[in-house]
Amino acid sequence: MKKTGMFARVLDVIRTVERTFIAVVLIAMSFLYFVNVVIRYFSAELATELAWIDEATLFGLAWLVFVGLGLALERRRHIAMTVLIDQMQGPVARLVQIAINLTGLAFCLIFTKLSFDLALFIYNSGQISPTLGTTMLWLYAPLPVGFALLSLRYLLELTGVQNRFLIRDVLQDH
Amino acid sequence: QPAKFTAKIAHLEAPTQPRHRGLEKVAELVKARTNGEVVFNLFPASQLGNARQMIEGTQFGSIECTVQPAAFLGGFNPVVSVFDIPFLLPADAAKANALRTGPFGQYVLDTFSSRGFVAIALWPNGRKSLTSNKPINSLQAFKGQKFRVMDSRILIEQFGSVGASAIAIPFGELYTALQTGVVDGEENPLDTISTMKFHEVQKHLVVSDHGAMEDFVLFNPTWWKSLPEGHRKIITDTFIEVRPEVEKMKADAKIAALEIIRTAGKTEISDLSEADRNAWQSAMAPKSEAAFIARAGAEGQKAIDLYKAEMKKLGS
Amino acid sequence: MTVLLLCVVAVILLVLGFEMFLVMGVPTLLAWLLLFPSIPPVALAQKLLGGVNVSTLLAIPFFIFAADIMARGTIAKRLTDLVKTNIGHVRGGIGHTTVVSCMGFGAICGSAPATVAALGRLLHPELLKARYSETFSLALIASSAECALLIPPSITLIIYGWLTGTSIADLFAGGFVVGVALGVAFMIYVQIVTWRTGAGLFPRATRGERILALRDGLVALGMPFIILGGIYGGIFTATEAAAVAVAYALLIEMVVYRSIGLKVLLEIAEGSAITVAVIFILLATGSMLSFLITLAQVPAFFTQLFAAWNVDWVVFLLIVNVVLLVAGMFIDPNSILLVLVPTFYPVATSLGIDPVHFGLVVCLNICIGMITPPFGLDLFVASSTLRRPVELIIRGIWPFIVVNLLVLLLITYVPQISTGILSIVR
Ligand code: NA
Ligand code: NA
Repeated sequence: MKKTGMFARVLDVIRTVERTFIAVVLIAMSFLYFVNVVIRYFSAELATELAWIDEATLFGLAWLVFVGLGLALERRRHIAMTVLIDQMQGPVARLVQIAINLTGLAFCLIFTKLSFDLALFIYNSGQISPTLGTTMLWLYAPLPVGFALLSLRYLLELTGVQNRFLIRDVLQDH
Repeated sequence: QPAKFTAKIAHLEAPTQPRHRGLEKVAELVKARTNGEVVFNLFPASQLGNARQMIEGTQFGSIECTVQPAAFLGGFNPVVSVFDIPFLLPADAAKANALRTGPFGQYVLDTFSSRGFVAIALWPNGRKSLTSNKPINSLQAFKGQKFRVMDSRILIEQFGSVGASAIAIPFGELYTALQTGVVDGEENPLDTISTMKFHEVQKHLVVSDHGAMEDFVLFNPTWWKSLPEGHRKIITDTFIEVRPEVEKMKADAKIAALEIIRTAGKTEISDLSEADRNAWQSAMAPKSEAAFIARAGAEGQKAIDLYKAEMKKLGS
Repeated sequence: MTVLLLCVVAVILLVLGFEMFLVMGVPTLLAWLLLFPSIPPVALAQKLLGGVNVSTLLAIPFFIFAADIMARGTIAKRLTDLVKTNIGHVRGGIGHTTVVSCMGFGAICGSAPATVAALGRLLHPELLKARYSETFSLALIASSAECALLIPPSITLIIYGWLTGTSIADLFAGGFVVGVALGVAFMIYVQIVTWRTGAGLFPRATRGERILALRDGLVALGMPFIILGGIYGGIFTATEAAAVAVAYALLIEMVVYRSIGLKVLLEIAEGSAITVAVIFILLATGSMLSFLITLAQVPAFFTQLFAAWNVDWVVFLLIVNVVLLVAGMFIDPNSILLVLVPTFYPVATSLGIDPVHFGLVVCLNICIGMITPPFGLDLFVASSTLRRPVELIIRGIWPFIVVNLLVLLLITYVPQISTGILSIVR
């Protein structure tokens, strides 16, 4: 029992980090982009020093998108045709759900591996971002991180720790 | 005879532009000369992804070859950014070609080998000119103007050194940005200016030829090594052989572009005198050169040294 | 054969309720295994990122965020009250307002999905209150946003101009006419639905209510003014306008009305971010799929077809329309332009078709692609921002597709609509 408690707490921590992270990234992206406009309006010379903002915002977008995937899954926010599966009942429904979760897990594990290899390749190639001057790893790292988090969610769904198919009303958190 | 070696060649220009027509010529000649053993399939217009994706794809082998301007390669190999230094190549075409084929050009090509590419040739792709909605007929006139630049520290310094600002705007949004006045001006080769129709929204054009647009022909090393020695030589020689033709097409495209811009009648066109050229160079180049060496380190210094030695030899 | 098999797999996954990114991603992965095993698989991961890492797409997350702030705060209500008190009593007024505001907003921001994101949350509840059906309301918003790609400025037309060397000013002039024609066609359909269902009516507002709404709405009205003025005044680009919208919404809600605190802001941002993730993973998988389709060199097939088969311009444009419509169901607008225009354009000019006319036929097809299932970006954005199942939107979209096709037919075979304005402009 103590182990489950520990496990649940780890999950809570992961979730809190994800939630805070994506919210802060979106706010920061908007802020940077807005500041760029204001500064360019008042001082074009200063704006030259801010050429990195466009690149940094796109890095932020990649992080926001891929880190958000896991949360989107457990809240059943991913787009899907749910009419049929929501009408299914009993073992048929259970079977289809398992098929979806298994496929999702396999797909995400494959892409965790592929995108990890890619990120490593990019890092080793020494590619530098043109205006930020940092390694391009920062652009590619969100993929393996995001797919790992999404794999975790599919695993939790598969093992019954979570069940997104119980969520029928997608409007609930509106 | 069926093809033994096929390569996808990806680049970002439209199929009507000189680079693509040059590549079509190369593909045709290489196929004939290898008795159909080597076949190039061309993917123009960023069909296989944007510049960065094409270059990375060439590194890890989803694309066998890409032809890319130096301006997009700086993140992969800082040494190529030497071409971003304004007025680097002499105005004289023969001298410029001597620089490309001499020790300086060869050195820059060689620096690619430690970065996961086989670079076999440098192709000229014209020179950049400047356009703006405000007058740009003197160095003083640049002060306070906003120019759109490609993502490059060296190009940013080029404008900074004459009191203008450099603003990053995506290429697709540039037409509208020039029209509404988010930025005053931009720099591009004349045929790009005319195909993108920037002259429809720009009042002034200075045919400055200040920036070299050099194309690097890059191959994936694994694919390249899979070729027999003879085929490699045929490919390299063919690229070098077609180069003057591309240069000619580019020169013709420039004349045609000027004519289109003149006929449209919305842009005042002026040339850069010899004296102005020298003045602009001494104002713009030093800071760009410093920014280049700061990024490219010892290799950058060596490229600059080779360049200067070569220029001395050429009497410029 | 393999392709057919993969399509069957996709349909099964779709119907059984697999997440849409799996519906697109799993067949793509299989296609790579079966058809392109020599391409290093990391290229697939690279394409996933490539679909997301695009500057001009930034307008979508920012407008989603701005709309969520306005909906949670008070701006949305103030703006809709203003519209309602002034034209609510005209039957169908709110329906027409939806079309016109999408045309106006889309015109400046240039992105159809961003238009859905920005206006959907404002208009959708009001359409429902005016007793339009859920499916109609959702589909109306998703479709009206299409005009964004036609009415200038339009990146789609700029890319076409670059690929073909056509004057962008001319394309913009023609795009304006075609965009307005499309909007008018939607309004005619709205009027028909309004008559048939008797929906679209609010009680007439009193003079007092109208003045109250104007007073309350004045600050909120600053939003469209700042965005319009900023873009046309050359202060910021359309993409940057989205970030300005976020800042203005925050200023109004957090400082002026104090309707949102820091904690709520974080909540809103989190919700918006998840919406963004849901949309962008589909853009990512879409770009992976487009990559494989491009590699298959389908265009070469058409080049040979046209060479072998002596078509006239009427038949040619029919083929072009069918191909573009089918392509638009599965791949993203950019890939359609970059891959298919270089194939079709030379044939079009050799048949004497005006480049501006051809460009608008292509662009209108791309617009339609935004709302055709299964891969219709506007559908996805409407579904995720309005939290409605995508099949609900698809159910309502068919009549709009029919309206679109009628307009397409008109634009295709009456070239004067696209080019007529040029004789005036030139
Ligand atoms: Na537009
Ligand atoms: Na579609």
